Amino acid sequence: MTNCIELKGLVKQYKTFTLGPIDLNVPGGSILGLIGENGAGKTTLIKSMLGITRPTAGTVSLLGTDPDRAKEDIGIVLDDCFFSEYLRIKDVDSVLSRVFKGWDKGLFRDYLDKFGLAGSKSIKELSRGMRMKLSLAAALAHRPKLLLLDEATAGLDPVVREEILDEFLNFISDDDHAILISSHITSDLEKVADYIAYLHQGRLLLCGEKDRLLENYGRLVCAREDLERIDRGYLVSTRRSQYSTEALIRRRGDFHRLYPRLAVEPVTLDELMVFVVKGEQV
Amino acid sequence: MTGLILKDFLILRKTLRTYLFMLVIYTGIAFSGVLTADIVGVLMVVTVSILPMNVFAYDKQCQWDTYGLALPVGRTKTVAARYLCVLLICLLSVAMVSLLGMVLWAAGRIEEPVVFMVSCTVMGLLAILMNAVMLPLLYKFGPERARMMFYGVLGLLVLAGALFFFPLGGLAWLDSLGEPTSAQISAIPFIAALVGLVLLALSFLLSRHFYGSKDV
Repeated sequence: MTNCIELKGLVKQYKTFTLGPIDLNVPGGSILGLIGENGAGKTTLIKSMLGITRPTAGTVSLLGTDPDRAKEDIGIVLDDCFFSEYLRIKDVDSVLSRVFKGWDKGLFRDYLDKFGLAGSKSIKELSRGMRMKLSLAAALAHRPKLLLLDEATAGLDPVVREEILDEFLNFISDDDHAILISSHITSDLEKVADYIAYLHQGRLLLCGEKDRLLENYGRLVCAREDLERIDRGYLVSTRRSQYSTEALIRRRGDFHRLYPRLAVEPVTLDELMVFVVKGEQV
Repeated sequence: MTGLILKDFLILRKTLRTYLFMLVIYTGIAFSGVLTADIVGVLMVVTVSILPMNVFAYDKQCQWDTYGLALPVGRTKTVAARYLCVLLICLLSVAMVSLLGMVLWAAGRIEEPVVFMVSCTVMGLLAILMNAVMLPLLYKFGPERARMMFYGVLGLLVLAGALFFFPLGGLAWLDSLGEPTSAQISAIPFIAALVGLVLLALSFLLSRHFYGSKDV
């Protein structure tokens, strides 16, 4: 399986923030979920990959070539609709059909029908959910091979999100296709992502197969004295309060065999993030 | 690139309609004899200088640049599309004002149509000159700051004119050149077009440089 995204030592340096170095591969036929707190560098990473902002160092290969050459085969949805409110939906069709060689007017109309969007409507009249659907229709209508989505499902109701997630799953049924989706809604990523990359303060803290990550890590709730007796090699971070002590545990299976008396629960991506950001690192 | 030019025209659709309406109104005013026909040309210069600022402001409002740079167009072509849009607006404006001038001439409100056409072309050149200055500023500083800078430069020019140029005789030196021949008059539009294109080309190179190194 070939990689649709390959990042090697990608760095973007600002005066007060540095992203990277990031090494990341996303194989075809898969979805990578990019998580991280606000300001962790998720949008900067996507912008750097596309050359919207110029990387300070490192190399980016998208669909086996440099980003500028690959753009014809990339669909992008960013955290807001980037079409002017002075445009109508059918204007988006007129404009983008002259931008993308592979633009399929019929497919765009199909998506509009599917998402319940009337071409005559002005963008000003659309709700946030409808604007995101329009962005998605625009991202898919030129039959891209790679989708880069930045908070594409933010602010949408669960029904719309479900529809959009189904669209993503359809998209990656082709082995040449891949999606990178950054989202704060980790439950969405738990549903659709094959890989998870966790950015924290510009650094990639975790990256790997989602199932393995969730299988590897666990949440331990125990007494303070129990925590003191645990082999430090298993502990990632801890959270102590007046009433409880919690720890993020690695190698959950081994830990359970070693400490059968201690209950370790599966961890969610949300909990993983909270432990890393708020917890006391061991 | 044609897609980006079309996008600019589409977002200016309403403004262009208002502009057209105003041209007709001012032609009506010139027809009534309250003002001379030159006012239509002045309206053209002012409007065509403002229109690109509006496009930049609309683009900034919806953060189009971020999306635009993700499209398979490239930075140079993106800038070229904006310049072609401005050039098209200038050419269409000159054509429109010339057409309205012919209406005024047919109605007997313009005595010398050739002089009016020449003045139209010079106004068109002035509009291009304004844009040639304004567009690099817009690419470098964005619409808000560039607009202030532009008005600042205009203010300084007016002040310099009031303090030095007119007290020293203004355009009186043109009288010493004598009456231009008809061949010289008919050469003015071509010279204006050539100068306009050269200015726009130089301005384009500057804008491309600014936009090429810009982080969005």
